[in-house]
Amino acid sequence: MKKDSLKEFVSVNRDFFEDQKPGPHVLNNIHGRLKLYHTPAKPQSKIVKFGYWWAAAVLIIGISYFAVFENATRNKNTVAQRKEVRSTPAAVAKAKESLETSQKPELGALADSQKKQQTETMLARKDLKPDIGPDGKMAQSATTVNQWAEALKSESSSKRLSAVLKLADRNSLLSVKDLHILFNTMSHDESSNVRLAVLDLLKQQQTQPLVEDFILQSVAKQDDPVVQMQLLSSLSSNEAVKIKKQLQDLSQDPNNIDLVRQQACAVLFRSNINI
Amino acid sequence: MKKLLTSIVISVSLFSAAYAQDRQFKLSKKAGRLILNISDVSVEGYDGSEIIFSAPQPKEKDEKAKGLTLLSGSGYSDNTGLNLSVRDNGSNVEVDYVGKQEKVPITVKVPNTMSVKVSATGAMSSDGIVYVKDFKGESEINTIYNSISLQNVTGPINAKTLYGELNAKFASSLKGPISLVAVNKYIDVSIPADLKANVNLSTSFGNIYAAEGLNIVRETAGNKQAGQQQTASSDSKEWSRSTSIKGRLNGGGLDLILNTNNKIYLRTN
Repeated sequence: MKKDSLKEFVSVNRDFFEDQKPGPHVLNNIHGRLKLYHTPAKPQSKIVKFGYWWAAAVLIIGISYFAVFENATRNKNTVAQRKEVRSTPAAVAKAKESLETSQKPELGALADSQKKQQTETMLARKDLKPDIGPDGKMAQSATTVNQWAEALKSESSSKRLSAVLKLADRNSLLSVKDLHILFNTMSHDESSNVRLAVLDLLKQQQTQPLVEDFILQSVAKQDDPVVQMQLLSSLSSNEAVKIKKQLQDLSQDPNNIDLVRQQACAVLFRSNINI
Repeated sequence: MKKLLTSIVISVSLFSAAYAQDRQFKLSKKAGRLILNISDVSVEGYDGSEIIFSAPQPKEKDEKAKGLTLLSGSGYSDNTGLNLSVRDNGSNVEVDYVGKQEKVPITVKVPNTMSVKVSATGAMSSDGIVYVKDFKGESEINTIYNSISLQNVTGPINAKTLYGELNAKFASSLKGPISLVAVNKYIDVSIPADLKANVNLSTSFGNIYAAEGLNIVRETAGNKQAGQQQTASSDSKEWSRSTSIKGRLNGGGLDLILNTNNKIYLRTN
C-alpha cells in the first residue's frame, strides 16, 4: 500500500488546522434534524392561541356591558315610571272611572263605589273596622246591632262575607229592613261568594213569605251565573211551577251561559213542565 | 383546544343568561290592595316592601314595533315594559293589560302585608291558571275560564271559578273566612288535620270525599241551640240530588265553605 504523505502530514499537524469552529445555530440545526432535542414551539402558533383568549375576553366584556346597560336602562325606566304613576292620580281616577262605566255596568254606579270608600274611611276612623282574628272569627264588636250592615259596604269581600256568616250564626228572625239590605247584597254584591252566603242565610229565613217571593223572583233577575245555578239547583217542583215562564225564558235566553240554560231545562224537565 | 371549547361554552352561556333574564318592574308598596285584572298570573307572597312584576323575555320580538308606543282602547299605557299598566292611587294598586295579552306568564311578588284581588275574566284564557303561593294576606280571586291553584296560603280567601278547577293546599295556620266556589269542575282541598272550622260542603251533582279521621260533627236539629230556626238546607228537600254537609270540624272555628256542582275532595296536609 502506497504511503499517503498528505494524510500523514494532516494527522501530525491537526491542531494547526482546527482553529475555527462552526456557529451554535449550525449545530442546533443539525441536532434538530437528528431529533436529539425537542423542536421549540413555533412563534406563529403562540400568536394564534393568544388571539383566541383575547376573543373570549372581549366576548365576556361585551356580555357584561350588555347586561349592565340593560339593567341600568330598566332601572331608569322604573324610576321614571313610578314618578309618572304617582304624579297623575287624577288621570288614574279618570281611567278607572271610564273602565268601570264601560266594562262593569252591572256592578253598580261609580257613586256606589265612592260611597263604599267613604264608609270604609268612616269605619277606619271610628275604629269599627271588622277585625278578623287568628281564630278566623270576626271581632264581636264588628257585628253588633247594625254594624253588620255597615260591614257589608266594606271593600274587602272577606269582611263582607264575615258579616253575613256572623249574622247567619245568630239564627234569629230578621226584620224587614234587614232582609231588604240582604236582598240588595244578593243582587248587587261584587263577590259571588258573598252572594251565595246571603242566599244560604235567606234560606234560613224562608218561613217569611217576603223571603220566598224574593228568592223565586231572583231566579230570573240574578245576574251572577254562579248564584243563578245555585238558585236553580235548589228549586222544588212546586216552586218551579210558580215561575214557569221565567224558567222557560231562562232556558232560551242566548245571553245566559250554557250551564244556566241547561240547568233551567233540567228544572223544567224534572218538574214536568214543557220547555 | 379544550380550553378554547370551554371558553366558548362559558361565553355562550353567559350571553344566553344575560339575554334570557326576566323583565322586571318594581313598585314600592307594602300596604293596601293590589287589584290584578289579568289572567294566567302567579302571585307569590314574601316579606318585603315592593311589588315586583316579572315576565320572561318574549320568544319573538316585533322588530317593526321598535320605537313605537303600544296604544290601547282602554286608555291605559304600558308603564312597565311588560305590556302592563300599573296605577297606584294610594289605597289600591290596579293592574291591567295594555293591548292583547302576551303569551308569557306574569309573576307578581307581593308583600304579605297587602291584600290581593285577581279578576281573570278574559275569554281568551281558557287553559290558564291563577296561581297563588306562600301568601299570608287576604286574597280574592274571580275567574271564568282560568283554574285556581292555592299553595301554602293563609287566608282569608274568597275564590271562585266558573269553568276551571280549584286546587288548594293551606298553610298550617289559617285565617277565615275561606270560601271556595267552582261551578263546573271539582274542588280539591288539603287542610291541616287539626284545623278547627265550621264547614259547609255543598255539591249539586257530585260526591264529597274526605280523608279518614276528619272529625266533622254534622249540624242537625238535635244539636242546634234552643230557639233556633230549622235550617232549610237543600238536602232536606225530597226532589234534590244535591249533597250538603254543614258541621263543625274539631269543635268548630273559622268558616270553611266549599261549593261546587262537581266533586269535592277534602284531604289533610
